[in-house]
Amino acid sequence: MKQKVLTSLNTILIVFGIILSILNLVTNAYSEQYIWGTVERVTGILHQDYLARLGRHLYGEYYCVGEPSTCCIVFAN
Amino acid sequence: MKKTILITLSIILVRSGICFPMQIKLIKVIQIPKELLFVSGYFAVLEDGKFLFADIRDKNNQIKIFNENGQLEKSWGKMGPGPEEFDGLGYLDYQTPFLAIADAGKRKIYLFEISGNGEFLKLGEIGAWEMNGPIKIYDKNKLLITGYIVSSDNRGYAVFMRDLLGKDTRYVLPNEYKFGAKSEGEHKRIFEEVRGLSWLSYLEVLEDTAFYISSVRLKVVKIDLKSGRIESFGKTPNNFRPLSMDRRTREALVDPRKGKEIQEKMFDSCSFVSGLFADKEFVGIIYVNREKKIGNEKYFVPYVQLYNHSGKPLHTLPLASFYSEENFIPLFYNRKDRLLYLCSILYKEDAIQYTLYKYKIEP
Repeated sequence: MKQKVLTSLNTILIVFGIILSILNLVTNAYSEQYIWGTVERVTGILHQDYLARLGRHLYGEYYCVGEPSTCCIVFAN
Repeated sequence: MKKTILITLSIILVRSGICFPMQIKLIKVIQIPKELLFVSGYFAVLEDGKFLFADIRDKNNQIKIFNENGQLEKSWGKMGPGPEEFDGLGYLDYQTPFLAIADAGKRKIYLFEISGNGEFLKLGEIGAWEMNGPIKIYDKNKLLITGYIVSSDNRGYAVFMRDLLGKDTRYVLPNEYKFGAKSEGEHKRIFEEVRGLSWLSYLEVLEDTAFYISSVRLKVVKIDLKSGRIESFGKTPNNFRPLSMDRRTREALVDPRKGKEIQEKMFDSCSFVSGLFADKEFVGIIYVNREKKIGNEKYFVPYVQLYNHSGKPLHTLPLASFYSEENFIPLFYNRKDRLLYLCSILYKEDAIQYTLYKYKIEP
């Protein structure tokens, strides 16, 4: 009985580990510089270009700018 | 007796600003040829009246100078990794004879001195990876920069000052003052209402005073750069509709499937601050409403609000003829002659049309 419980626990741990590695829920930061900011919707090609060159682009027309709140960009070394 | 009453009445009228209102007259419209300016907007008017633009997309000519008729006179500045090359020029400031210009790709700001014969002498450069908005020259060796920076005591700042050697950073405007709020609680409440569409800000420097305003609230933050004292002023006029979003709208705004629609709704229903300028007599705020319609397209039109330096509102005036597709207006103010230049941005099928509107502010 004891062995069965231990085997089940082991299986659960292994499956949980596999799921975590698939989801990549690991928070590793390899940088000396980071940028905190709010997810902001930015329109206008000039500002989109400017912020993208600053390394603030997240996805689509969304950028990480300004006050710390909802996003963090970590530059990899 | 009659004479005394008349004189007293005149003094009261002049002091209250009811009489002799200021006027802003459109003097000239200068169209920049579409094929000559790719992606730009930020510009300066040099001593000889020529316009200097930064073009973030032009691989061979990042800096361009146009004459008063909109003809290209000079262009240079290759994109690249080299020390004399640029990687995306954007925000700039010109205070005779100095020109500061921000390089987004290299996260640097360069300072040039422009000589009488139009030669650009590079005085130095500073690293500023924290920048994300306007820059201003404070003096020959110091620049004011908007962005987000954290001090050693873990406090966030929206404006900071850095010397040309890059060694000294002074923290100027704590983040909780950026909307002109009176308390941290009020700041947090405003931030919750506007985040997602609130990153734009405007900066102006007049001698030892800096002025800062965010695009979403009509409150000017006045900073004494000597003492560090911060105060705010601003009276919201009837036609300024402040942005305020509930939680559901904010969440929809950052959803790529619904974001554009929400943003368009906000642009139609709210007002945005789009520029700031100052001289010894007054501080001017430009704000826009999207209320002009041509065919199916809607455009932003600007209004100017003038305050005296005590923060008392003097006038609110519309700006004739100007319209733009953007809710920010790149501007340059010539304090000596009270000339205000605004840049309109219109997206045409084949290219972007940049047009400068030159106004004269008259008492």
